[in-house]
Amino acid sequence: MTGPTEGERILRIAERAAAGSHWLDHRAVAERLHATQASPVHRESLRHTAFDALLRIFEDVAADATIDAVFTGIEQPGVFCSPLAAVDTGTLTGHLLDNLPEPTRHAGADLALLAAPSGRLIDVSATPASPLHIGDTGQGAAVTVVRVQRGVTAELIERVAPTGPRGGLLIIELAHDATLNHYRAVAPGATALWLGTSVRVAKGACYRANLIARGRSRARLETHVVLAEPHSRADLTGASVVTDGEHLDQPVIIEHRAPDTTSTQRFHGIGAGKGRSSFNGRIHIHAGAVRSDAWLGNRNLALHPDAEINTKPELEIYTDDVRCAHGATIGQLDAEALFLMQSRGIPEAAARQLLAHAFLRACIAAPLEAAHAEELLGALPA
Amino acid sequence: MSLLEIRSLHVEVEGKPILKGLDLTIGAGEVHAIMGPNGSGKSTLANVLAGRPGYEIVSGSIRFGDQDLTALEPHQRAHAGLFLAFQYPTEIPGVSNMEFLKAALDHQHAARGQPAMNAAAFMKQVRSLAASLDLNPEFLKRGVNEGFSGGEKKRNEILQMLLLAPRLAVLDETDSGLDIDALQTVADGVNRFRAPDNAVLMITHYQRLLNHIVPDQVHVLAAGRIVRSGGRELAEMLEAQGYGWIDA
Repeated sequence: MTGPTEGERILRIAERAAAGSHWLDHRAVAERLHATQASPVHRESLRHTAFDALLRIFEDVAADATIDAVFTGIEQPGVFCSPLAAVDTGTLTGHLLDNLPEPTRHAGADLALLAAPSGRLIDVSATPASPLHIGDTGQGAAVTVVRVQRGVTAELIERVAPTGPRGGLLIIELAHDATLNHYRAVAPGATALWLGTSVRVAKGACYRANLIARGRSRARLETHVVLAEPHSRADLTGASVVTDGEHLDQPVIIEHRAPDTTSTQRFHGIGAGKGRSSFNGRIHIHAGAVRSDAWLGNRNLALHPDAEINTKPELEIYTDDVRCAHGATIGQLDAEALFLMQSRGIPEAAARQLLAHAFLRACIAAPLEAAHAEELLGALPA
Repeated sequence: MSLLEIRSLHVEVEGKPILKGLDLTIGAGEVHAIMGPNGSGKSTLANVLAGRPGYEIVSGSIRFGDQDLTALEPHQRAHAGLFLAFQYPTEIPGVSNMEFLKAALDHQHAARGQPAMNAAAFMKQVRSLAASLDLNPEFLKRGVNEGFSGGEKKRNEILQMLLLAPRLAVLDETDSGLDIDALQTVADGVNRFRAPDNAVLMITHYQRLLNHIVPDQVHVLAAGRIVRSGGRELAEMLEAQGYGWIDA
């Protein structure tokens, strides 16, 4: 006896979430997702997280969708929060799908939309006095849309520490000259996690993200940024540690769709035990996006002989007159630096720890340092 | 008792003999200079003393005070009071000079059963040393040697030596790449360090460093052995005649 096909499972997730919820056209999303199944790009994009495993997360979250996201900082002047069902649902589905990556590359975003029983919109129309916080501790699926209006600067601090299977989708829309500083810390845990972040950056706007994560039993963190209009910019940094029995898959897509756009990505990862981590950084410069400037650096340290680390930078460039550079490395701690430290009286184990900490701290921003850095640093070999 | 006593030392690097029966004795309060042509084994000697991996001692002995130096790990050699000023100090991005120096000093104090220096006293001492070596105090916040010029790296080595106060400082071509002002600053630091209970071993290719730091003994190293020892006049002879006479 054969089980249900992937297509049938997708429809089932959609039907379950759609029951009693009318905020999204679930069928349209399911059809879009279903259409990608035959694509070889789709299979390749899920090389390090099997689609079957992804479906299982969303079958689980759809079955038990008791999402428990706590928003703080939303009750201040200039910040407006409402259920997505309260916005114009006639155009919502199309609008959301327009903001998502092609499902052949980041299939999880569409799945999260399908599985989420509801969603929330946070609209920021004036620069808030204090950061917005999303404390994400429950299980289930949720969609959050954060809109930062013209000329506004906001800070978003996201803590992801789910207690059960979790699928979350964060859609960020930055209007002209808006700036969002986005900080996210993903806690280690024994339950599966899929998180999607999809960002659209308008003219002159700037998205800055610092994304730190520990591996989990299974974790896929998809990030997708569209530099949609001229002089938009994205600067992404991230640090991660994967140790025994953990998995972490981080695909990032940056699309330069307009002239004079700039992106930088600096991600540092450490394989500290028998676990599996992968990073796929893709820069896509569309036709006409002249004078695009893109840089990607992914450095990894294998501190354990059984650590599996995969890194794949990808460039796809359809215009001349761009600057684009990338580098990806997997290596060991610098032997010269280790010896210099030892020769000054620092024992080898302590020297290794100092170097590994420095490697990670280079990609951990101050707002995450005090509360969450220890989750990464504490997982390193003593 | 001598501070350092090397007897008939044979060392190989990747199976190739480099030191071939080297003898050297340094007493407390002394400054020795080792000179020699390129490839004679000068830097090998420095690295073997510090315990760098890849240098295999085939035979011979190295006593440091009452200890067998070869039995100690590199960090234990530092705890015992050995210091190597590197010919090419490496950069350690992300680890600030201050953090690095404090860790080094704390580990050395702990190994000797001394209490850790409190942070305020430590900062004060490091800033004062930096000023005495014309090092911008801003450098202390930066990564170790990160973006430093060649001269700044060498001055940083001397700062570490003065802070850690070893019993024996081995200076591996500390004069290379220094302009005349930096050379004077570095030499002043070394002269300040000299004391009756410590010693300095300077490894250099040129005599000019010895105009600033006057040695008690000069040794000529050639083909892996000390072929001649003497006073400062030996260095002057080398300066005048070059190393050609060694082969003759």
